[in-house]
Amino acid sequence: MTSHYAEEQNQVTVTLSGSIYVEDAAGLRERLIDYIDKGYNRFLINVAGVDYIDSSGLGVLVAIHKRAVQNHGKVIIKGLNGMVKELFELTRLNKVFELQ
Amino acid sequence: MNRYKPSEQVHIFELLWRSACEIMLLLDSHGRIIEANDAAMITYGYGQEILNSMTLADLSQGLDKMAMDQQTCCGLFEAIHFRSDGSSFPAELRFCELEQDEQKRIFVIVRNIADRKRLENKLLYLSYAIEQNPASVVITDTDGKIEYVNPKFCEVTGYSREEAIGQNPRILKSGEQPPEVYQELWATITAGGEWRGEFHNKKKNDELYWELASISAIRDIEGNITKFLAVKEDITERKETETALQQAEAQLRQELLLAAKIQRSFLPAGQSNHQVTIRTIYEPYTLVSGDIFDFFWLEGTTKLTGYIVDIMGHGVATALQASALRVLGRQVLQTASPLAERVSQLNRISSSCFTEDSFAAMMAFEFDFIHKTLTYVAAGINYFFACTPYRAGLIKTPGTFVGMLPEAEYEQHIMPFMTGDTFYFASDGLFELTDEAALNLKSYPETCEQLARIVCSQKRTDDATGLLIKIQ
Repeated sequence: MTSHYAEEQNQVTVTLSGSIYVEDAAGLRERLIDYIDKGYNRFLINVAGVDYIDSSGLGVLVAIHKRAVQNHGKVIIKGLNGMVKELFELTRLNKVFELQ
Repeated sequence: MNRYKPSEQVHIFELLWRSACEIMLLLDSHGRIIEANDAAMITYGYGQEILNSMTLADLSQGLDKMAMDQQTCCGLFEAIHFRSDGSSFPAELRFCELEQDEQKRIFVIVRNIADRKRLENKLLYLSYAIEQNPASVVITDTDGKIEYVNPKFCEVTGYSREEAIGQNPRILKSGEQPPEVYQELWATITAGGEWRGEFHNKKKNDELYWELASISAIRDIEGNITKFLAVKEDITERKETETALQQAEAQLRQELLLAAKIQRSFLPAGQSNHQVTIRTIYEPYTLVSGDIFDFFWLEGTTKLTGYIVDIMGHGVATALQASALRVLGRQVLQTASPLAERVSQLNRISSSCFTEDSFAAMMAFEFDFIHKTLTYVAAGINYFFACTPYRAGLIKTPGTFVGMLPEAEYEQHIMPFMTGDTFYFASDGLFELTDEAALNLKSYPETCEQLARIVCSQKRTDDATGLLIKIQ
């Protein structure tokens, strides 16, 4: 997995690509929690380049979503496609997150 | 008999006096300089005339007249000498009393000993470094007889320097280590190499202690081994900590093994009767698992109800969550309400088992042997394999995770089954490694064998669980 982070006002744009496994999820979680701790509450996560995400990766997105909502913010998922889109639909996460 | 004529002797004397590298001075009995050679003029930076107006004390510091007066022939003194430019050098002065025309004269050779002083200072620093070293330092001769120990050695072992010198380091031997260790040590250091290792040694008071030692040979300038040097660090505290840690780890492992055994005992064994054959796969990634499964015959019915749960992550915390879900799952799923409602209820009551970013994936199923129907509810495990005349291959069905959204609603799906049909429910750890195209779903034994093989894959990084069901 590769990731790129950009901050603008109170929004963090995260661009992910490749496959997200448990070890990638841990690093992603740490980075995003760090942003939450710094006061960011809006996250735009671009997954257009992601070809696989396992349950631990989904867990990170859900955790960030819960924390962002608690802080009156949100997580927007952008660029869902292929297997990742199917996974979001099967697990109904497409109903949890705002999609773009 | 002298072979030179007097005129030649004077010439030779003048030649030696002028060309000698050492500073030579001739003084009268009051220390006044009568003669100075070329080396003196070059070194001090004064001409002969000026030197003749000076005393030795004018060139020196640290050499008083009294000392000069009391010197005996060939006496040695050290002093600091100054050049005309104000710079100085440490000097060694050798005095020789002469008599010239019944007058007392003193012949002085002055040697610049700056290099020697530098070396002496270096030796002093090194000696200080060894004496004050926080590690034990031992120097032996080539027979292993102790010639030097530093204060740290005495502090650690309890032997005084006097007691240790002349002894062999085997006075510290505890007998706890095999002779091969010492044989290897000697073979290494006598070959000129460095030996590093640990000793379990004994102090003077018989107390055992651990040392990390580095032992090597000291060679003279010709390369011959003349001594052996041992530098040893007391690592007793570290070893005790390591041992305590190992014991704690062993105890923890024992407890985990017991927990794994208990966890495994919760799981029903596979069964085979006139209605159904169930084989199970259960392979934790670590000792304990975040996966669980259960199946049971619903009381008073001919319904076989079951589920597989896969808690996100693996390890002790997920194993505890899995055990909690196992208890709740049996309570909730044993009721008679529609399967989807039972899963919704389990989702609601189990939310307290999950932390912020943990949740469980689940697939619940119920075989009704009266109506020959399979009801299934997906909750994060959204697929299973089936081989029936109606549907064959990977069956996908939507449904969100358990423990993620307390108010989530689940939907149930129904499909018919008949004798010979097979169904394969599995957790992510098994699905992720399974290539559908490689499975021969038409053969139940072959598919069971293929899945059992996949579980043993080195690529597996998660708990893997499967319920492999054939309708009889």
